[in-house]
Amino acid sequence: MPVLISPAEREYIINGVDHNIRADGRGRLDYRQIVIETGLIPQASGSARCRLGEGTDVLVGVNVEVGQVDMEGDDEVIRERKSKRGRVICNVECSPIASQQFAGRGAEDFNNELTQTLDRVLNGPQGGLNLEKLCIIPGAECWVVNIDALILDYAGNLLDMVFITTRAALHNTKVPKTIITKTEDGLEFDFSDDMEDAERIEGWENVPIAVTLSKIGSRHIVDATPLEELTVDARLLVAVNKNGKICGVQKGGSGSIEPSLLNEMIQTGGTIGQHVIQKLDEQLEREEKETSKKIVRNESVGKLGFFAAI
Amino acid sequence: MDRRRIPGPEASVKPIIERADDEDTQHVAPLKTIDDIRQDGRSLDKIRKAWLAPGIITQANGSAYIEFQGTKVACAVYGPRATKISAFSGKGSLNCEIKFAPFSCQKRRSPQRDPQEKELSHLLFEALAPAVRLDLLPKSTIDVFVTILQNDGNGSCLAASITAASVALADAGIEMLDQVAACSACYIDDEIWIDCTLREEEHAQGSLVLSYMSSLNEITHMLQSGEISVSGTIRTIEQCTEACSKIYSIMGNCLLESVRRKLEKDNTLGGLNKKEG
Amino acid sequence: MSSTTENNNTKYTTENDQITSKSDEGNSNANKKETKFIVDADSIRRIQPLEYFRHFTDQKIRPNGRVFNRFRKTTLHLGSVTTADGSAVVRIGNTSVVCGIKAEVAEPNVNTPREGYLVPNVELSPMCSPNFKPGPPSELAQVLSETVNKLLKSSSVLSLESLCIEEGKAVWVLYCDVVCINYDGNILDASVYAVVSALSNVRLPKITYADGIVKATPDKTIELSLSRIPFSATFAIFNGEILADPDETEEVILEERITIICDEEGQLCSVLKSGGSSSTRETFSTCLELARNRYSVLSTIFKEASTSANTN
Repeated sequence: MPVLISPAEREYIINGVDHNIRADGRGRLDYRQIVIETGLIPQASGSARCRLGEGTDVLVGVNVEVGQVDMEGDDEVIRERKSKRGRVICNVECSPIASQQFAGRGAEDFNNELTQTLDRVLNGPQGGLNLEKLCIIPGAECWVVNIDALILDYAGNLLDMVFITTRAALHNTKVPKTIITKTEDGLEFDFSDDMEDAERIEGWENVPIAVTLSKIGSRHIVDATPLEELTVDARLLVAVNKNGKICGVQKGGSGSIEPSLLNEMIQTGGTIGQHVIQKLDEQLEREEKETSKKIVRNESVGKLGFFAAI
Repeated sequence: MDRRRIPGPEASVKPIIERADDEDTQHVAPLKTIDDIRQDGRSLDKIRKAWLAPGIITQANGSAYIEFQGTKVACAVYGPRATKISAFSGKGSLNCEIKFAPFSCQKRRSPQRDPQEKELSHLLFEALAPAVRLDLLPKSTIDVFVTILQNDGNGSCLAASITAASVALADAGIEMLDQVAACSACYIDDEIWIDCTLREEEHAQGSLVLSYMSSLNEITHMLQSGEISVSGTIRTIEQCTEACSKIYSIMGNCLLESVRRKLEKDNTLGGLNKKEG
Repeated sequence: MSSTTENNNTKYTTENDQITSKSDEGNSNANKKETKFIVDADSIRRIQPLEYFRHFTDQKIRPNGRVFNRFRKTTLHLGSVTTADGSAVVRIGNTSVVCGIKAEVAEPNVNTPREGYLVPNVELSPMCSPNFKPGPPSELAQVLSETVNKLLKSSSVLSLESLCIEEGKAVWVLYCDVVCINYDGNILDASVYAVVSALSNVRLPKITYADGIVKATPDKTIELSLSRIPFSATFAIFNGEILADPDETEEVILEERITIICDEEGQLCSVLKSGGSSSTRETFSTCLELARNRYSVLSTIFKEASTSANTN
């Protein structure tokens, strides 16, 4: 992960972006190639791994477990609402494999930042998941969705990849079926261990993804490489869902953005985001079809897992 | 177990507030009336009354205290002072820390820093960094410490912290490109409410905090959560920049007043003739 | 021969003969131009702080202009923090602290099933002074918290049994957190004043206990009944002189300090003496007298603040 950039390199990148030709030949709004694979971790409720170009590698595992309902809040109406919902807990970690800077406690602040960003978008109604469906016994027990993201390699555009991989992992996530029985003591529940009975988590298609727009000079680009990230003075993360609605905006970096440019970036983010979701969904569907075909033909469904660059 | 503080019980909870059955929904006041007047008498697009005073912390190089009715925030700036970072840097470093006082929120907060405070500190840094001339202060560090004494809306706390920090930096005489004014807004039932209280925020589907430099017409920071259309976001940004401009003029007036008072005091002590204006 | 310099409204006389002549000797080989090395008040203050201080105390005054037994202007505001169940904002000169009390419910200690908890804590954040660094509580903060804790316990300011909701099951916990906004000396007096005043300002809801759940009414009307109301007065001792209410610059150079905490009947609650050499009995008697006078001043301010808080 480069930390320094020379003024000549900086000039080169800024000029290139201005002329719509970046160092690797892409246009300003072009993504690198994304390779996705889901279902690689059998012991998780859902998992996915994404690789961007020849760099960024993100692995997301989703685990669904039983937990307590969150009943915090002073307003009774709010507490009522919360008592009938499940919960989502996010955690992002940068593995030291990705960069030497992440060894020991170096990544602590960075992890916290990424976790808070992921949590802000996914926790809440804009997160897409049907939290009401995840409630088992109102006011007592509910399903807690633990989303753990692990960054295995770093080549720029981390947050976008984390969101895309999370969406893919949630597509893959199955929640065990719960059976609620009424006893004299109240309600009791049981869930079957059989994975065949598990249902796909509801609302995964509404989960938003993020598009990070980086302002270089007076233009903005999508999917920055590490060197480009060093020339960026301001970044805008736009979280978009399938319907083109904005689910979160966060500005980062130490530069400022003019309001009209900000509006333009949000609009671009919205359009690009929808486009990416469409492509992602097509890929996920294709993969699922392939997998079910293999199962039908009684072939082994081998996941490539830790594959070489394709 | 925190051995450096007086220990309390292992765990404590807030008692559940229960209204008597006959009170019911009659006493739960609605958030706004039919004419779009909120509980405190404001319309949807008005910010709360602000009270701003720079220079309240005499020990610090610069300070400010701000009150947006229910939200009370104090900020102190120390610097530029020698940095502890051994590596040379051509730019100064800006170190921001936000802390909620233990009694500031509905539930008592631990005196130790939690992830939310760390994140807010980072957001404060991102909002101020574009405005401060750090390139004029190599090998130095500017410390900005914010204590939130009363929390009446998470968005308004962050906005008040950014505003107070900006005034405190000016009070400390640190060169900046422009003052940063910040303002928060919420979406409730597809309507945009500016500067929400805690109660209003609980009912919101989304929120936005915007930091804006009025003279330069640049947005230094924006944070939005919740689902809204692109046009809705753009409209909210417009309304927030307007509100920020109002806050900006309040900040300017307060700083001028404080400088005027300082000059008067100095003149009186020196025994010179009183300066006009 | 002596020269006088005026600096910031204070006249200061110094004899700098010797210093001038020494530098002249040294410069005999260098240029013959006469260089006068003038030592001004500010330099003396830094090089020889105690000397500087003595020059003032010899004239029965302190560098900040106060006479020895004068306390700084003190103000008190109750109930300003609405998220807290009781609060007090205290200003002694430039030192300002805010105490907020949060009441929560917890299980009592097994050994004391009818006693609630009173948990004071003094926070000296890096905001209030350049001398405090971020991180865990400094020694000073820990000492202050422990002093306030001991005072509340040993003086039985509040009966812990009055905080009992249901014996062995639920009791009130009062977290008294003092946050320092501006540190200009004498933080102990300010903290004690703030904590005791805030306790008098606490309003609790009516509480019921049933089946392991504690329920409260929305309105807060119940006051705490304090058995004693102690206030403190801190003095610094310098050359046998008693200086009341030392500010930050004085605290740094004057190590010997006496704090006297007494209650509404003039009875002693606590006496603390630290630093310096031993003090005489007369010194203590004078301090006690001054502390009792200070008490009546603080008590008047307290009563005024209480009435205005109750009428609001």
